[in-house]
Amino acid sequence: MRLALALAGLLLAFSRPAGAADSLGVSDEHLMTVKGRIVDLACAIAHDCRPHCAEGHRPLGLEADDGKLYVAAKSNTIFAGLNHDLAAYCGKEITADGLTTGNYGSTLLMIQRFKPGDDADWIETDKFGRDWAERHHADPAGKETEEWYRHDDDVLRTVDRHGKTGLEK
Amino acid sequence: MTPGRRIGTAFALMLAASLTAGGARADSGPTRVKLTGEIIDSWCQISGIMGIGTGSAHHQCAIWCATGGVPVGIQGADGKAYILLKVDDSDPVDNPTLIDIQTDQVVVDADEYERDGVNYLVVRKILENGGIVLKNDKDYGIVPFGE
Repeated sequence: MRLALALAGLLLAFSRPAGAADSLGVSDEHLMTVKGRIVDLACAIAHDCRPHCAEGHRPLGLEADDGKLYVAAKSNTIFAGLNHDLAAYCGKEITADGLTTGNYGSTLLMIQRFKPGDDADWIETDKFGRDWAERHHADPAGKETEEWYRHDDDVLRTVDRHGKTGLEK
Repeated sequence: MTPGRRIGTAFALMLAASLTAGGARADSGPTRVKLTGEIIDSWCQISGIMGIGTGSAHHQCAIWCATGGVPVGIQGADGKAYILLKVDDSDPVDNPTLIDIQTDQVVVDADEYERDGVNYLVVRKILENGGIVLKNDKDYGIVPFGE
């Protein structure tokens, strides 16, 4: 049921008005628009810093203007995070539209879209899918890209070795 | 001390106190810990979007999400979910070693941090890997999609 809501939410994302986040019905959900700076979480938390947020190889965060730090965890691309969308904005301020979800003592931020300046256009967080399509010479709007997780060579090799339950490895 | 200097000193102390206590920032750590838990896809586990975010039922989905760059975490035996900032001095996003141990139960030597309602770990070393311990695919099937 929740998965169906999530998929419906992603479809709605393409037809909603500016500034409105879509509910996914997830745990302790709060829809929000927040302005802040994109940061390397290892740098912000553990003071272990690398240039350019380690080119997106580390978890990224959004440090809001009020000082609160959010984990930028999930994009609009199914089963994908936000590093493809946000790494280029390391150290820069954005306005993010999305939701937070919390459980087990931690909270995550899903950014559904963002804009890099007050007068900039909203950008949908679907760059993982677009980058995947480009690498695989696939149609960005096609079924193969939509189900990238069933066609990705790295995924297929790992699942082949592990089995779908992991109990065959 | 002149009255003017006293006022200046008092103002400076008030400013320092407000900077310490004010704003949303609330962090702690690090605390060195030895923690047992399952390597997880943080989004599915914390959001609950799949219903099940741990164990063999969710193994394939955890591989999908880790490959997709969703932050990898540990669901601790202490009931807390942690976001991994580094593991064995490596960066954790799209990290083949971490993708390969999704759903495994591990024991780690780590520095634990907490800030603004999120638990974080810098894993110094994975001390033990017990493989998949939570075998729940017979109960829930393959999550999501059943295949």
